[in-house]
Amino acid sequence: MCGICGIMIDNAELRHPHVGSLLQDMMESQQIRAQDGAGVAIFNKTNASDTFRIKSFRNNEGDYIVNETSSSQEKVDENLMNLFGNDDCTFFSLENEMTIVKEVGLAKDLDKKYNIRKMVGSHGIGHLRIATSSRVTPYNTHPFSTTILPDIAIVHNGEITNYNMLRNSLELEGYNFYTHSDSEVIAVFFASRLLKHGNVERAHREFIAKADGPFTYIAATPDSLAIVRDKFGTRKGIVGYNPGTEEHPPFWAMATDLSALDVIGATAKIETPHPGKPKIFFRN
Amino acid sequence: MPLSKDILNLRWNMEKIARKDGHKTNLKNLLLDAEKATNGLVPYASLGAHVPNDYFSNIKIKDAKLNTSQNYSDVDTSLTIGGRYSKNIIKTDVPFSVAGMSYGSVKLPAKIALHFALNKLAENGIKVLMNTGEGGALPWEIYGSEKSRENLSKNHWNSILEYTNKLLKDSHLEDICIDELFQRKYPLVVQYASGRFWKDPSYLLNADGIEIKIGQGAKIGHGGLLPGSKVTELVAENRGILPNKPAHSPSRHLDILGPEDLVAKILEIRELTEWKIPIIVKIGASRIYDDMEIILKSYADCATVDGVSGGTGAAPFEVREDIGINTIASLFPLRNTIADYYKTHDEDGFKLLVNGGIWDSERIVKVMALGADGVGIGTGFLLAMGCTLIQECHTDICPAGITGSHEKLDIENSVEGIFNYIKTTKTELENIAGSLGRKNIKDLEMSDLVVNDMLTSIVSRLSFSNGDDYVMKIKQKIENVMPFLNFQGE
Amino acid sequence: MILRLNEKAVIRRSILDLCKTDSIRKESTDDAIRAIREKRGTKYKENLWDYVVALGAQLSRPPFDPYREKIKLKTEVGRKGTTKTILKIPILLYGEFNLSQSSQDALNFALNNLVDNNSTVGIISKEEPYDERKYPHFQIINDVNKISDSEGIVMQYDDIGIIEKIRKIRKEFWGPIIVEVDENFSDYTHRLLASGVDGILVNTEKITKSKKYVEKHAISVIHDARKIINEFYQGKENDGTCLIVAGDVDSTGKIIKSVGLGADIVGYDLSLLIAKVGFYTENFFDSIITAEKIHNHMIATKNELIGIPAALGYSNFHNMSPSDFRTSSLKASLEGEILLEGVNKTYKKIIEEVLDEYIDTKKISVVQQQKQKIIEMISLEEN
Repeated sequence: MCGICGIMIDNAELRHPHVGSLLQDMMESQQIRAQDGAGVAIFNKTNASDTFRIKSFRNNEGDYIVNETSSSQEKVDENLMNLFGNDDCTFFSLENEMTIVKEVGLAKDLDKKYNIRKMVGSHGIGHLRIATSSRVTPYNTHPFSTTILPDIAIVHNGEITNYNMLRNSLELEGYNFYTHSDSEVIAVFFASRLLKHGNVERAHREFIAKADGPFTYIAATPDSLAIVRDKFGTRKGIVGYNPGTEEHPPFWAMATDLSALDVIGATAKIETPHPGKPKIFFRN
Repeated sequence: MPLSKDILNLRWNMEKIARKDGHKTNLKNLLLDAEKATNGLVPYASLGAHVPNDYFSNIKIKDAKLNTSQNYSDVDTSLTIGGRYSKNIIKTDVPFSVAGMSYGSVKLPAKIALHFALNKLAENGIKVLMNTGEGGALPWEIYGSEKSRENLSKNHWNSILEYTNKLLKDSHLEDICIDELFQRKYPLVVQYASGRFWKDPSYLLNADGIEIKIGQGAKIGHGGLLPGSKVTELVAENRGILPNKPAHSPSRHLDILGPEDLVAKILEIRELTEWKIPIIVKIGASRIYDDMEIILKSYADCATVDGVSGGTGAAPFEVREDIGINTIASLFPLRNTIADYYKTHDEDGFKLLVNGGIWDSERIVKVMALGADGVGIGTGFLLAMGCTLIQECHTDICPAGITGSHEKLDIENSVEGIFNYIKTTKTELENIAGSLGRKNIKDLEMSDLVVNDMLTSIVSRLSFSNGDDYVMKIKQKIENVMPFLNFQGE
Repeated sequence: MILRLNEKAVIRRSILDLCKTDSIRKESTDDAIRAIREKRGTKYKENLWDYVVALGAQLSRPPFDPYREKIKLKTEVGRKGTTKTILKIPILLYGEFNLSQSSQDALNFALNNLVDNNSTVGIISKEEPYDERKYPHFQIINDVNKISDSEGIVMQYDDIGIIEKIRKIRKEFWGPIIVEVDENFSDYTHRLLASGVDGILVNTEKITKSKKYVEKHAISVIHDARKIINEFYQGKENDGTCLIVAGDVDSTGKIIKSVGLGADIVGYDLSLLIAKVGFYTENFFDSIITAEKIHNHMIATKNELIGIPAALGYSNFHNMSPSDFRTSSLKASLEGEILLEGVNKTYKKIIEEVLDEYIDTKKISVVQQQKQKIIEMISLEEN
């Protein structure tokens, strides 16, 4: 129920693009839609390393403090299990090359705190939240990440109405949930299918077939960015292209409102993704 | 859906069989099945849902007297709506309003009786709020004041008069004085529903309040509905639709899919009405926590929550029966959500109205003590006009002539009935509040009520007559069973 | 609104008093209603189904509109590897008794007609399937050697030897095999599912008459059966096992509630259907008219079944889940683990919370088992 946006730089190797700055512009232009929380996830290949960062929220008498621990690949599962057993902690993200930041409040405040405009990378997604069915807390803010696979982030606008059913069946399959947000189920489902067959498009198609309700979401993996609308197309979503200039490389942009594409000049090749058909961009 | 002779015969047959059967089978279901088998259509029903447990009768008002020799007429029973974001404020003298009953579902004589009765009350110093329901407003409701007629062109006024005359002639009410009719002395709330049954913006601009209807208790998640047999030419003209075809409203506002759309819609109407007119959002009692949180954030002045027992002119039977929670049960989450919101926001005059299964002073008091600022009454007013509760409003066979055209409604008697009903209910409210020592009906508290069973206590959070609440009752039970188990204290 | 005539009369009289005499009442209406209810006592016991309601969609999720969006009712019977049977309405007409020839003809005609109208329903019956049928026929068999050309097979559980029989049938039959279980289903359902059974059929009417479920309602049977099936699929994906609930399901409301609480398909009582549309309405039995009426009834039911999930915000009938239902009865909350309306907790959860607090303040040590025992004892007490 929110404003979402995403950027995929075309040919990111050429120059050093400020994905953060583009996302921040798009988010601020959509701020009118939602004021309960903001967050971004940005992917940068140069950050990739052997160690994984596990971020979590620690509940300190109502305040949420972000904890960050580094972990080698072998120890990730063990560290995550510790987290799941701890009632005071809520999982935030499992990152390698990806960086997620999220906060309750406005996009401007997020920028002030984390300096989003200075963040660089090949692609990224952003989200503005207005709470519908879960509380206004940092851990219910988007983007959602998963413990199943690292570097998965999704932002979502709308509702997954059969959230309880999907969640129950995923829990039966053995996957853990950390919040009561219906958006988390997208991340968990998507990651669990990727784990099974590794095909991004197939995973999205399976989700569209299973999920109910009105939704548009943008899902990011290290190599792809996809915008997905429900089969009736009840929620908005729009994609545009900026052909690039001397200063900056060309890029694809996607958002809830057209205004967000206007701000960053991504008004070429404008189209609305077909309902029920994922539109996927791959990193090159 | 017309009630053909075939179905009437069928119903009679079924009733005979059910009687023979000793009423072991559910007669109502048998009748519905017969209807389904005969015409293959979804069966409709009307008025409120059959709720086996509506909690009201399990709640008692502590030491209150309906009838006392003392005079408590100084008790304040007024209600104001608006002022949170709107410049205007609606002020009424009773905390209850006439819930939305549209022209179409209710026939013209009944609408006129309500109009005259509320005018008469206003002349007697009691202002009562009226809601138009989802059927557009009648000409005298929109153009009931000098001010609203000021800028009308002659042609426009003539066409209004022409339509009015047609309406009156159709109901054989030609002897009603037009000048008298075109006077509205009570405040009017118009419904902005998904059907959009109005012709021009004057519908919104001349009202005292606008209610955005998202849902109603009897058919949550289902749009408004008027069976084709009741869409007469005049009703169709008023709503701007085709005659003799059922009027199905969309199940949602096509441009309100979520919270941010509701905000946009409310701001749009605010701009249209220059931020003057109070805006109410009406929902059915269902996912209260989530829905109410959204309304609180959406620039509305007031929310109306309609319990599942709230009446309707027509709804698919299963939708009416199976969807929505009780009025009393919705009040605990409502209180909680509103309290949560105002933990981080300043008090700004947000009002909560509650409808559904409320028809007399006691129930008004119960609901208000549980946190509502006001209530809406629908079926109560129908009863005052002679409704027999046979629940056939979706057909044309109303024996009281309120929702059907076969019988004639006695308007004079009905006006008298409604007049007395409101006046005596107001006096009863004053008596109850006064005998509890309150100067204002808003001062009623939960401690003024007691319950007599566990479930009602859990759902309403009220205490039993001995002061225990459900937590203490369960603790007692724990203490009772403890000796049977071998426990060791530390 | 109250359905009982005497309660209606009290309300009506009380309001007419207010209207006619312009005098204040002396008696409280709610007290009078309570008196009537107390006097009535348990003579007319309300059906527990009536206390269960669904939560509709409004602002936090928009409802779908059946006129605009397509609502899916389609259901597949059969697990991975079997020849699946497709039902366009999740209803299997279910009857064990012998139908007269004319009734069978009428039924066959009606069901074929439904298939033509894209509304396939199936039938579970003892009779031999018709040759010119287009609808799926599930035959109840006792003799393993007598398998006809029906689409599916229904066997009644008698003892665990049934597993051998199923294995034997599986060698030559690839359609869905459904087992109708008795009240002890929790003991052997896992073994049945492991042996490749495609569906479990519970007849709530029969089971609630048994000793094990004495004084219990169909809700608890559905809840238990669903729990057992879910336990079987712990750690893996459900590959299409369906739970068929028959018996106490004779109206659209009950179909919706039983599917919401865990059933996949309902067994609609065949004898009742024919009685409702046929015998009760006509003085003589006419196959053609009865067939038409069965057809009409099913089409109307289909439209009702589409309307409810749409109003709850679902585009697929099977997406309704227990979390969409609330109850206004402690008994229903206990039997089906349904949340109480308004408070959104089950009765057991409420007791548990109070118990936890009690244990904390009294500083006593209670093991989990004892805790469960206390909760059990308190919840069963009359209120």
